[in-house]
Amino acid sequence: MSHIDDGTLHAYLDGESTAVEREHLEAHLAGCAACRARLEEERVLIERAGRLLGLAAPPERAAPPFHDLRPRHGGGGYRLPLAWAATIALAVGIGWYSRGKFWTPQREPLQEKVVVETPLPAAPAEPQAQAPSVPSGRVEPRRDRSSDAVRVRGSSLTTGMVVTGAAQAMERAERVESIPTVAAAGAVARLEAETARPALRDAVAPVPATPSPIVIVDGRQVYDQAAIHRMSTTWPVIEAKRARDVLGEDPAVIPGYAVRALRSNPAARSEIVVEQMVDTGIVLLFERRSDMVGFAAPAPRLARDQAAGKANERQPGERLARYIRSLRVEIAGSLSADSLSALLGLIR
Amino acid sequence: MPEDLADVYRTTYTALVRFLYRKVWDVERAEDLAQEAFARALVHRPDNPRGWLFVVAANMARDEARREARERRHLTLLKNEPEPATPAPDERLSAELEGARVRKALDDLTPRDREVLLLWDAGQSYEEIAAQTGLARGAVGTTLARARRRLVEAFEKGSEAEHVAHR
Repeated sequence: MSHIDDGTLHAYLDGESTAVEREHLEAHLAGCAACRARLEEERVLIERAGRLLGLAAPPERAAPPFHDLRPRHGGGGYRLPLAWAATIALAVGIGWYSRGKFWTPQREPLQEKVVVETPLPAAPAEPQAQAPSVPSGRVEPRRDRSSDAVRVRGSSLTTGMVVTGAAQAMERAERVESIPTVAAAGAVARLEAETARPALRDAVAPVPATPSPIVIVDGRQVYDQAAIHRMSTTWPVIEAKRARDVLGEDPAVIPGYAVRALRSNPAARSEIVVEQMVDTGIVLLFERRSDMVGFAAPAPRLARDQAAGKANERQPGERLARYIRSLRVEIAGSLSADSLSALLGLIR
Repeated sequence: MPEDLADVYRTTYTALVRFLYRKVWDVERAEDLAQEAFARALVHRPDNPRGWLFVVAANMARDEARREARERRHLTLLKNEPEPATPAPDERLSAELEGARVRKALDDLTPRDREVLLLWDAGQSYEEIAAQTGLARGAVGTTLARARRRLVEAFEKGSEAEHVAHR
């Protein structure tokens, strides 16, 4: 039997093989150690290339509100009116807020795996400015990603997320900007938030001053915050239609909170990530069809399963995943396990 | 306002900026071009807005690069200043250096390899990439495999070269 070519391996790892191609390839892999080894090599290559591209990414900034876009007339630019200025003010406020409360500075080496076997000691989160200086002559290159903590899309800004999710930021922004439409939208959203979700505010414990950098997902995967941040900044955004195609139905969401983005896992296109903003930070929902669990992300799963044993011993009974309709949903975020569990229970 | 285009805007704007940034290497310019692409889509109402946006964006970036090349030729006649000295490396700088190295590695790819890689990284499917580049769908995986390998190789070669130069 002839071996599998690179393009087919990449298509498979990218989740872009047809069912027939997949079947053929898996049959071959089952009997060919050489191609299994190559599959693993190509997986590493894809990850590495993806990370390199991440290094050459622009700082992400809020998009101007869609309804403010106007075709260019003559030589002038398109209109970016006052509301856009308000958006910037909000985004800056939120960035300031989330930098302190949610994102901890990145001090992990670039090469770090998403899955770690042993929980790290919970280091206190420190603002970037107070981070201990790093001795020079370091071999391992590191990157400072704190600057892309500001990642708020314009469309989210008029929803509850701004008001409840970053009440402080909103208040700051309101002091700075007095654009009537934005302030009014905020007030309405706040009203809605306060009347519609009393249970949720109780369910979500306030974020501790020093959130733990360890996040347990599904009781056996331990993501650190750097990994989550990396996912939420480098995994490609997809359209709702694509998510539906992948899942076979609409993605499950935590009702009442703004969906910031739908993303696709570059290493497993059968998995999508729903990024939602809740009161104290970003929550990620990892979703895939429950009947795909067995084959999703062939190579990454190996690594996960190897990590599984130890994590299971450490975290008995903590399985932050649920089956909803035909989906399997895992939750992750920098909230306590209790809060995540409460949020998971609310998902529809 | 067509609802579907607003939806595309929400999901695609960031990806489009990223796509453009890696062509023009200027974030403000990339944002301007992305916004203009959407503004044009509002007028043209394309059937497949996502694909259309990336095609238009790619064309605008190419025009931009040509214009810039023309301007640079003029500038080099006027300007003859030495490059500023490189300050001592620290963390931020090493991240910047790495970014610059990736940029160099990306620029060294063939246009086709680069285009396919950037489209994939912007969240386009193989099918969409095939439609936009004129490649057969079956060739997208092969092109991506080559592009990824060359990117990593060029990056590592650049790192080695700089490592030697610093000694």
